[in-house]
Amino acid sequence: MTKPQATSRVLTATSGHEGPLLQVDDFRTHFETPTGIVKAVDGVSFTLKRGDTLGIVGESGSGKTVLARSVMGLLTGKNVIRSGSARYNGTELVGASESQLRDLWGTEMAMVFQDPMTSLNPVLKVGRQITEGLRYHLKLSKAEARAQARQLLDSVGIPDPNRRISQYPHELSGGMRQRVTIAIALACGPTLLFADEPTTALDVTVQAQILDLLQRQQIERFMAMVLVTHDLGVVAGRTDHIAVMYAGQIVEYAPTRELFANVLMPYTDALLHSIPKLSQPSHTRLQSIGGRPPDLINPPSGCRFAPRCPYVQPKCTSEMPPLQEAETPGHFYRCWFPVGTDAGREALAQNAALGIPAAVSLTQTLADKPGGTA
Amino acid sequence: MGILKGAVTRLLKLLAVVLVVSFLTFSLTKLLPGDPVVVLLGPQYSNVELREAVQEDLGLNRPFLVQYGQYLGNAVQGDLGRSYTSSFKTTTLLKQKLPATIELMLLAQLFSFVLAVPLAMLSAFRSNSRTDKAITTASFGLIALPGYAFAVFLVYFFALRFNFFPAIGFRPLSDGIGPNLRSIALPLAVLVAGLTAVYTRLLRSDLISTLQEDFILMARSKGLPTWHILLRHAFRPSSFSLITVFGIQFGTLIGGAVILEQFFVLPGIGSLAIESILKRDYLVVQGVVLVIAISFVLVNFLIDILYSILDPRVRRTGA
Amino acid sequence: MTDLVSPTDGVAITPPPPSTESGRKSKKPKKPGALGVGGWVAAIWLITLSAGALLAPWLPIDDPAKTDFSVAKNNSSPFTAGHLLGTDNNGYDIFARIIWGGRVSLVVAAGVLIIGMVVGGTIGLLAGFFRGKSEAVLMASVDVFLAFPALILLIAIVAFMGADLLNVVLGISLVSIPAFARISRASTLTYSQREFVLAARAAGASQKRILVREILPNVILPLLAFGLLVVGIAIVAEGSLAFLGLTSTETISWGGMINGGKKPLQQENIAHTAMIPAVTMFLTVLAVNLLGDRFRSAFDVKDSAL
Ligand SMILES: Nc1ncnc2c1ncn2[C@@H]1O[C@H](COP(=O)(O)OP(=O)(O)OP(=O)(O)O)[C@@H](O)[C@H]1O
Ligand code: SF4
Ligand SMILES: [Mg+2]
Repeated sequence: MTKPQATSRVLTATSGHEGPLLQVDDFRTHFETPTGIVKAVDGVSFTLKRGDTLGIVGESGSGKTVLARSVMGLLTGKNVIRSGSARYNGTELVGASESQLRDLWGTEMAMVFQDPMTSLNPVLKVGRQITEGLRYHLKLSKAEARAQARQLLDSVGIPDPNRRISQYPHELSGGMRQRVTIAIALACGPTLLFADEPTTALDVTVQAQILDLLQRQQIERFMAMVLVTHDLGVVAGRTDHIAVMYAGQIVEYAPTRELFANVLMPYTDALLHSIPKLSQPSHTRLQSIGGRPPDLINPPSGCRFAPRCPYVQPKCTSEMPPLQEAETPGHFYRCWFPVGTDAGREALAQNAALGIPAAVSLTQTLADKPGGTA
Repeated sequence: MGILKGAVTRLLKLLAVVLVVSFLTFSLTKLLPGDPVVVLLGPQYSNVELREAVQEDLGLNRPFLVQYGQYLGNAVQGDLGRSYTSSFKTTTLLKQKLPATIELMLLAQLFSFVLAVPLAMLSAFRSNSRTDKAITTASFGLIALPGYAFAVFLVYFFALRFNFFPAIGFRPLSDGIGPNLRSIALPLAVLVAGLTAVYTRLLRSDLISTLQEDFILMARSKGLPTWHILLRHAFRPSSFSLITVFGIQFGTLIGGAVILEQFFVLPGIGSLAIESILKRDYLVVQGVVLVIAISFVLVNFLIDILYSILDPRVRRTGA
Repeated sequence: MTDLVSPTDGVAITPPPPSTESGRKSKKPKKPGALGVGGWVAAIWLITLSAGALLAPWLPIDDPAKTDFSVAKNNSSPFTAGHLLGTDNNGYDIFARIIWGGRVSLVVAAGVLIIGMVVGGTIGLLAGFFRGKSEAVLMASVDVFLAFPALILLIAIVAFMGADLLNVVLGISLVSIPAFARISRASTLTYSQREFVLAARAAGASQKRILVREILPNVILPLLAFGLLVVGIAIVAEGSLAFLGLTSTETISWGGMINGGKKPLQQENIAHTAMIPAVTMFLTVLAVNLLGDRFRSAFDVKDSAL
């Protein structure tokens, strides 16, 4: 399988390891369930270097959360099967023992979770939840850890940290809590930060603030960040690269600007058309793509998007398209009839002529919007 | 101040519970057939004059509510009346019998709690492992094992076959800790086995659901050691139903020890209850029930306070 | 939430121990209704016992109250000639008494289950549905009841009212009613808020119709699940009374047999007389609990609903 090499420039960070900070290669995470094996992540490859942000975008259920958690090694159920490779700074994470991973968690890599309502322990004071990592990893004294925690709270924009530190999570607002979880994640100075839909559960007004905060911290601390979201709009101005996921696979990967300028994969195109308008409620999920997400136990044999794709052709259902590099170097896509190419236009026109609803409605949308992608 | 107000309301409610219990006991002993004067006088009961004199003396011919009021008034001053059958004061009898029961109950609660917590953690943390299955199965079995049936096994194996412990009898603490503990070892074992099983299952199932919470994942992603996550993050939010049941068991244990006390011939409050019920010794029965109800209510008041310490969310709502 | 089985002797009827299936979904969830090997063994055990109990007078077994003088001594061990499980200290055949003793357990189990479910269930249903004062009274009485030593109450009832089986059943039922009421109230409360009930209300269904047609069928399941647990407790509770020697010695019951075995055990070191009925009772309660557990996982009755 081809893997995106777009980011393999020489690492500027002062780390012993030459090469990318995170190198994920043909990575898979499957779940054994009574009904079959759920292929939640199925052959994902990417690299990420320090100081860069990778956006991972996809519909609900496309495997983003599983990917992030599994790379970090947080999924430990007996029914979890991980394979492939994920190297952090040269250290292989797949197959590493829990104690090896624990040495990396918090200090080297950390995660911000989706819902700050549930990711803070309700019965422990905020301060305690920040200091416990500091005390355990950095062996700080109680007083030092508290001072550090105040500083952290201050740096994530929490006013009056002295008071907040001795409050319980339920006494804070949602945005406030997410700032706290960010402070916790940043506490021990990780170099790799996973942010799994850090704003999905928050008010629209707060969303931008939290994203700005993450971005600022990422730059200040020169971290690598994986920003997971189901909303292309969120990643637009904030990431260096974007990986679009569908049914456990990366279906398009490109530098952010390039991706927006030059969408190749019909699925990404559909995502772009479904970016929620500001007027829509913040929790609007990407439902505007017709059809249902694929069955991850028995995925479609050819292109996994085929059953919903307006461009679909017989070839798509029989042969899985490989992830291939476009004319623009560093832009990868997985499609036989890419958007904006002659082959794609032809396929769409043909389907529209046949009256396939997805194709018809897409053609209509494109016609309404003069500057459309096609 | 929220806590204080909550505590006061709660205390008043519990006081009401004690009052109702005492009233019910009082009425029940009046309603149920059997006249204490029969017990007192025996064959002389047919002597009407004597009978009425005794009734007058005991205040038994006054209106029901007046009798209850008097009883309550005296009770508040620490006078629970005198046994009809022996000349002892009820309070004296209670003082005699309470130590064995309380010792047994406290030790049983202590041991089973201390055993159940690590067992449940082991079980929950590796749920579906062999250890978990062994623990779950054992506790399932123990819950189904009636205490007296278990007592029969224990007595047979440990007292009669191997002579480790005395089969019956009680040695007070004043005889020394060793003999005292040996004398209650078997009934204690019966209680501990049952309670541990109940607590383990309860805590295990709550721990398992807590361990699936996001905040546990978050704690893990901080790289904290497993024991820290179990103790600091998982245990407290999982302990609420354990603690509730723990509190209820105090009441159940005081009253429920009857059978073990009888079997092992322990001078406890349960035996006192049975004896006085069989002798129609109402005042003693009332005293026993009152003591049990009061201790139950007190313990549960403390548990409520513990609750609000453990869960800050309860504190705010002042529940 | 509280716990049902008091380890002391099960008379405190408070809510139950969590099922094995609770919490995380087990790896291979059992098919709904599947009993598993353990469940089948339990079912067969209970069916055999019940059949034996029902048919006892017609079974080719010894007279349970006849001393066998042909055996040299009383308390003869199991497998002595003519006595599969030996004889007790009266020289009675233990096997026959186990079978006859099952009758008492069966009557107690059925009686308490029916009375507790009907009376307690109805009280809880009404309190949960109409809320208001009736509910407040119910909850207050549950509070009082919890503080009341149930076993002592039971002993008092039996001691004063007479120790025949009817009073035993009524006494245990009485003690179990508040717990049934509480569970039925809790389920009623949750179901009253469900869409289908709200829909029925909106459609103008009468209160009575909603209660009987929409809510009752849903409350029955958790109530029955709880009832299965109470059955185990009731059997143990009856045993406790017999064990204390409070029930009539004429009645053959397992608890009474254990009680009768106390003397040989403590004085003559003979165990089987007490042990056999003790094991029988243990296995029976275990079987009932196991079926209850399977029942709850099959019908997905949450432990928290109990
Ligand atoms: N422990 C598990 N066992 C079985 N299947 C699982 C498990 N965890 C996740 N899955 C499945 O893996 C798929 C991917 O889930 P994932 O949570 O990664 O989606 P996502 O892209 O993060 O979606 P969302 O936007 O809703 O967060 C889903 O179909 C989910 O049902
Ligand atoms: S055109 Fe074919 S290959 Fe491309 S996304 Fe659609 S179905 Fe898949
Ligand atoms: Mg997700």
